[in-house]
Amino acid sequence: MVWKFHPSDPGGTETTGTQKWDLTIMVNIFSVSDIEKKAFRATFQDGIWDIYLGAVLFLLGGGAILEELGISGMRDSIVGLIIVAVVLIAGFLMAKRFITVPRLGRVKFGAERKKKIRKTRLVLAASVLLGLILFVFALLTQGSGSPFAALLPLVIFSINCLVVFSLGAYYLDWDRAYLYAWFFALSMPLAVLLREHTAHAFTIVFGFFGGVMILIGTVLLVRFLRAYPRPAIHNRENGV
Amino acid sequence: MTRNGNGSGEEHNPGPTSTEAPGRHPLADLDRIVHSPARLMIVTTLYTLESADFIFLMNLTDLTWGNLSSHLSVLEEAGYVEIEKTFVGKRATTMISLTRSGREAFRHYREQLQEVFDQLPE
Repeated sequence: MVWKFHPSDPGGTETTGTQKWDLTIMVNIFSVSDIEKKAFRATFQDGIWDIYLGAVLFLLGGGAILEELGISGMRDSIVGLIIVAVVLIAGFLMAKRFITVPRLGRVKFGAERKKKIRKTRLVLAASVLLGLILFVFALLTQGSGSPFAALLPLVIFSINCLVVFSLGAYYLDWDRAYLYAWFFALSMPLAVLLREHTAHAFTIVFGFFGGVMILIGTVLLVRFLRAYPRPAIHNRENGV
Repeated sequence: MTRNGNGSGEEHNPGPTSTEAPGRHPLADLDRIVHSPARLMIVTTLYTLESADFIFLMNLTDLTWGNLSSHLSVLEEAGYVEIEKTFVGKRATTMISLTRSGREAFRHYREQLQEVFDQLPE
């Protein structure tokens, strides 16, 4: 958070707590963009995005994982995948609404941030679309027999994951997304490589990367819940 | 200089609209409404945002409910913040934003401090 310094902060023997507090504010008022950035980052500290994306990574390997778990009926079921996707999105939105907002509060960011978010959406949508077109094109040309053509969809998938997540990380000031970019990018090629050695390649790889993301998100969520208890009802009525 | 009338007994220099006496130390003309550490945190945070509700500000400034409430009242009285009560669904929400004069006052305050810092020897 932005102003987590307090007059009673330990450390520093030459200045009093109040002096330190004043000095820190003096430094901060000359870097208001940092304050805005930190305020924006605060909306990512609940870990819900991490859990959601971790679950999406699970879902990407979902068909194979379900098959390995013996639930093969759902493997090729589009309806099954749609249901899982809807449950994930609904879970994400409900978590934001019922966990984050009552604890962290509501905020409307300034014009510059709104512009940045619009630009991010546009760039991400274009990247995903381009990646999808290239991926489908690569799949269609796979039958040519060339080993390069067989690897092309994997390469495109990985590069697209790296590009999309890194752009998201950059535009949203969300550093963990750089790590998740590599998780998503490496998952498919690693699973394909491991498939020659074990029958549980997809479960291991997608389970590991998705699991790490869910674990990070859960740790962040627990820390968030501890740091921001839900205010009492009379407080939430916002009586100023 | 005028009294701010908020009962706190602090002097309120209306910032950009004031006529600063020539030869006075720039720090003497600082806007006392903005200069208080707690209010400076509130104003600086709001300066970067369009608006925020009470809980978000409380979390970002680390002020208690009562403290934030009283400082917001001072800022509202000075015309620096606008407090708007709205409903999100069935829940009452108080959205707080910096007014044009609040933004102007913060900019002026920053310029004054910058001027002081620039004049300090290396």
